[in-house]
Amino acid sequence: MTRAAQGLRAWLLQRFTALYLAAFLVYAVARLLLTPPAGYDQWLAWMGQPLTGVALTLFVAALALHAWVGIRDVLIDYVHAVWLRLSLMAVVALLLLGSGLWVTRALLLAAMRAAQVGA
Amino acid sequence: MKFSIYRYDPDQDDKPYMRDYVLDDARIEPGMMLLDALLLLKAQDETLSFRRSCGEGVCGSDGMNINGRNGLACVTPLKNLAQPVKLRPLPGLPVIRDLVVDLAQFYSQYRAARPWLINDEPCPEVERLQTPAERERLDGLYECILCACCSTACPSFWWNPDKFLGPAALLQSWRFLADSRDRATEERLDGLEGPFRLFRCHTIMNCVDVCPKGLNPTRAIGHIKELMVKRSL
Repeated sequence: MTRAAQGLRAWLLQRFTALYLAAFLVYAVARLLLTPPAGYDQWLAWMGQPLTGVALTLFVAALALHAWVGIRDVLIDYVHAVWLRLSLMAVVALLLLGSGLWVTRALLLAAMRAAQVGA
Repeated sequence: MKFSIYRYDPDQDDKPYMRDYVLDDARIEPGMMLLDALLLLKAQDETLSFRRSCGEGVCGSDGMNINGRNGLACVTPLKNLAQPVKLRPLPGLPVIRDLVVDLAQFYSQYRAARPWLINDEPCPEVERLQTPAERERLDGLYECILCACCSTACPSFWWNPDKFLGPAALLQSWRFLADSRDRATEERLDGLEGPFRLFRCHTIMNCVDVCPKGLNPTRAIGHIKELMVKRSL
């Protein structure tokens, strides 16, 4: 990673992901309040829509990146032993990556399921 | 009036302690500043050490932690202070003695900001002139007196004093980036890249809260980030 990526780019990434997270959360909460899905079928239908799937996948990616920059900042601030900081950062990175992939898999499965139900 | 003052003489004391002082209320005059009281206390106990010089908020020598908040003793009115007035040295710096701290770290951060005009163009016959608007951009930046109240109030400085430049030095960084006569914008911005030197600032704004001159290092840091973004586009 270049020095630029560690400073300015990380900071910009945090700002831009924050904007998307805020916008999506407003949409998601409004959608859930206005037309709450009544049951599994309606949840599936909502999640099966390509636009929802893409928006939600982007949300998960943005959340993971945002969390990465934030937790990395905390670790850089407080953990000064380099080996410990790197180990903790590796654990966090793996956790975030794993969770992200797991959610993406769930969303893909939902999309396939919805396609089957639709067909 | 009661005071509780941090005392530490590394030659004699194993560890720092707080000593109580009482100043006769009859000696307190209206409009008196904390520094005046400290000078009276020093007359009572001449081993009490602190820095002071001009006594009117211009030299920046008597920065200290007053009831938990950094400030200049010479411009802090006595009457607003809760008693006992707790006086400690500026946080996060090595104590030389009592309220006197070692500012070497602070000055090396200041030096790292290269606080001078860099311009290799041939010298003009007269001064390098500025328009009034260009000169105005330096308002709120050049007034810094380097009292170290802001940097020593900054948690990011406490955690990484050797790598983060701190609000005072970053204010100076922007003061020269904003100067129409300076030509070293690229080098200055390159020097601030990376996760530490500038980007440890998390806009906590303790610096703005304590600055005795009412300056705003957080805004200066924001301007630097803005300039970096503009440059990278």
